Amino acid sequence: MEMDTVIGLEIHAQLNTRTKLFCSCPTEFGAEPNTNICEVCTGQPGALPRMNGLALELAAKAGLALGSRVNESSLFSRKNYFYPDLPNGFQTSQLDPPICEGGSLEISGDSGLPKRVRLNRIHMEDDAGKCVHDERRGITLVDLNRAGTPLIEIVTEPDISSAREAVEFLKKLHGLLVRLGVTRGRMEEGEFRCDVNISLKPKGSATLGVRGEVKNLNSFKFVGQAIDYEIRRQGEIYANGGRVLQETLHFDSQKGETRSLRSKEEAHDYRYFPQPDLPPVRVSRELLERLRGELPESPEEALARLLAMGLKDSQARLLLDRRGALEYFDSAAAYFPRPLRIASVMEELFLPYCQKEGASPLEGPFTPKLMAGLAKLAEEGILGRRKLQELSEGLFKDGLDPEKLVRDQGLAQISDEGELARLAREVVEGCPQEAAKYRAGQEKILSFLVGRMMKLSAGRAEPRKAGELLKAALAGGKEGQGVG
Amino acid sequence: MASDPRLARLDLAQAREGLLKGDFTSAELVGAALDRVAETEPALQACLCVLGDQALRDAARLDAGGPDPAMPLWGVPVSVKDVFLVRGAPTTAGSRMLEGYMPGFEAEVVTRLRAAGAVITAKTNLDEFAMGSSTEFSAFRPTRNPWNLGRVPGGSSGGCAAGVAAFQAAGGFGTDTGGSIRQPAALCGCVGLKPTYGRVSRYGIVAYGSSLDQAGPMARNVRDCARLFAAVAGPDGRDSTSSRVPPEDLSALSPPEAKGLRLALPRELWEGSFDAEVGKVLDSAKGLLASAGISLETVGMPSLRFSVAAYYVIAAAEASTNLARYDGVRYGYRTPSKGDLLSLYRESRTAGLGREARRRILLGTFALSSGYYDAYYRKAAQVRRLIRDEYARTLEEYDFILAPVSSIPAWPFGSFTEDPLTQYQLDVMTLPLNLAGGPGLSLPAGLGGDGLPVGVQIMGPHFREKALLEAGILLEGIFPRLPEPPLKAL
Repeated sequence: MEMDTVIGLEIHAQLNTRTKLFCSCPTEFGAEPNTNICEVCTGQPGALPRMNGLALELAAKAGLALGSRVNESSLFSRKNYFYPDLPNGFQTSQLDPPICEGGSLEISGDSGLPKRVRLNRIHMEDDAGKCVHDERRGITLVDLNRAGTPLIEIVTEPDISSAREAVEFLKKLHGLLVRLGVTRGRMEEGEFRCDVNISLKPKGSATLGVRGEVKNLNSFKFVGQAIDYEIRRQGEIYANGGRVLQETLHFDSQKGETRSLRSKEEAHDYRYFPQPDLPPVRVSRELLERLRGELPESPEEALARLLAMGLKDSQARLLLDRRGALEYFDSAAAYFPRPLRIASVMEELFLPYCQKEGASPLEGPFTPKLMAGLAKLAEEGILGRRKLQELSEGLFKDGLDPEKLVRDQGLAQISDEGELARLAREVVEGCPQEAAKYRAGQEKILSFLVGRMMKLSAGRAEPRKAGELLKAALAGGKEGQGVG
Repeated sequence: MASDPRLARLDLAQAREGLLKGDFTSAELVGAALDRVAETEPALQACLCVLGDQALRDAARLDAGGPDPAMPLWGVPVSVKDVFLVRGAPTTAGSRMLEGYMPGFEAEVVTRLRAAGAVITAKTNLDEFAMGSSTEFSAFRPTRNPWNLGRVPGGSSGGCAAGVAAFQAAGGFGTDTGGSIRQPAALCGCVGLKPTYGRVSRYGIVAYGSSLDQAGPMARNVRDCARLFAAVAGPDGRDSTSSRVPPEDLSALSPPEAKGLRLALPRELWEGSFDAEVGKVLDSAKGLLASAGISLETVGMPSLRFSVAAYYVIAAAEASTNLARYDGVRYGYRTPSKGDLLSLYRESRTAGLGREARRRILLGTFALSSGYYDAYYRKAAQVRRLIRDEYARTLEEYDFILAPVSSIPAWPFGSFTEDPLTQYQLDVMTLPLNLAGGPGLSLPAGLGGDGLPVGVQIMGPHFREKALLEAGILLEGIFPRLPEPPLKAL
């Protein structure tokens, strides 16, 4: 039986704050165990939480950027369970209402069409500490440095249909949140990690199948592998007439397979209830307006803006897809407001060069200002297509000023008709055999003559005009002789 | 060291006057209090920890700088219930779980008391984690009532009330989650103020029911209570539930005119059955108030009937998760046996926590469990809103609400330890105020024929402690003054 894959993601992103969610301990990674701790984040008797205002702003900002509704008032709840890395015996999280609801992010779907992945919610919560199992001594050590680190959890609707879509979604989300400064997103440090809910159902069926939840994946690659593994595993169970169990799974990245952590029957009853130590979280209209103002353009808005400038769809998407390309484009266009010319130079020469070198446009020596100069030379016909291509690598690599180069080396394209006509006559005179052949009807020989003319002009002759003027010289040769 | 026994008997105003005039030093006053503690402790068992040396050092340091009139409690001995974290002293909350726990920081209330010049002399006994109304659930020992050593002092701040009544300190601080300041104050014959929720910082106080807990003073008269309260009231950035409403200026208190004062007497609290002696004192108190010209009117507050049920759901729910941190992992009691993680939790918590604490944890865990939340916690939260609204409506029409504090006087040890539901029902007078969140003042209304004190409480609008205390001064002048407690078994 053919099956559809249904995937929903829960992404945990560590908010980019210097201090923890409910105390002023640093969130830095890699400190000596149990040094970034205080009475609040170790759950001492009598300690009380106080909300980190920046964490709230970052969470709201993520929501705004993803088109979510940011709730004016949201609530923290206690999520109760026992574990040695959980100092209070509860996690402080948001149940109802969370700070943000709804929203979406567009990816390119497997069908080839754009696809909107809807978000269910974004909520804030604090992270737990870490248990370190010392096998040699047979003991478990607890490090609470991470306890209380601020996170947002972004929950999608089950709108994703494949590993490829999931990975594209995550990469896009990651890029967006990093650009916004919401998270630093260092995945190897666990700052961006993902739980995958995945189920299969008969093709076209409206009823969702039983899902497995793969926990805590901290690389895009593992997400893809875990999904593909689960599709195979669940598919085989169905194929053999078995029942998929609702369970929580761990992905073993060494073996590339998932294994069960606990079944539904063992699931916790978290006994959520409103956290009485924290008043409702307020997001004022003023704060929301300020955050909106700080928000960079959304990809959708940027796309619309570029298309309105007259860029081709493929050019616009290229600028959006390559990291730093849009910012580079915008600042070059500020120096030389001919966006179409800049876009085409970037598309044809600069971005391929950057990709080849693995460099980000903004980080290289060829600044947007230099790009503006180069585009100007192209726009004004001073540098021809060929010359442009020939010079570009050197310019990009060394960050040379193209206008200065053209001046210093006299590289400007010759488009002056008198000058070109003179060169054309010289070529025709120097190649009497070829001229005769052309006149006898061998028109293909013209390209040879154009080549001679380029050589004679050190490549500076504008090729199209060179062809026309050669034709004129060849045609008018006899008259010329008469006159000359 | 033979100190002047009269020094321990001074109230705060008198002590302050003597200290500022230089009649005696803080060290002398604190020394007298500590001597009184040593003299009475064998009978009372009010203290879990006496800070003798630390208190004397603090007093000597104050003396070295000379009296400071800008510090409202300069040089005065004050005790605190053993839920307030005090630097250099263990905090147990009356539990084996925290036996020997040394805090790394100090409660905001204690910091403010020190800033006002007070000297902390003792950490007083309580029901484990403030869960109880007799101090019999202290894991260490029960405190005895100074009016009759065969009786309980009330609770959970029973140690504080007994100590203040018996002159161990001029005043003390307790916490009130469902009556834990007002009820022991009434049973021990002293004055206790439960401030508005959010008025006094909860930072550094071992939590029981976070949305109900409120710290407040106990003293031998209303003005002393006001003085202690003024030193600690006000916003605290470390307690997110602390109110930003600026504290009132309590430097000058003048009682209102008796005539024209209108008190509402909720039928639901006055029409129950009372112990005969308690009933007599309450009747006589009402008579005294009426003849002074105060208007007493019976009102209906029907939602109060649900307050015991609502309170025990909410308080137990909050307690069940507040006490989850006592797991034997980071601090506190840990079972010596080596088993798996689950048995570490189970054994540590079973041995470290007492019966009543475990009972309330189970109750709260049940009430929050999937499938029961709506029937219990949500319902209780709705009742709480009803009570709060009814309270506010009543106070739109009347100046204060007047109610008994306990339907029975201090009871013999062991009366209800096997019958928790009856004991819970006894809290019916005091719980509604915690659910409503407002301030209440409990003060002695007289002594019964059995020689045991009986108290009444007045309750007022949120954040209007000043008017409440002023009315308290008026009532205090109308009610008979209590003699000195005998400290004997009767």
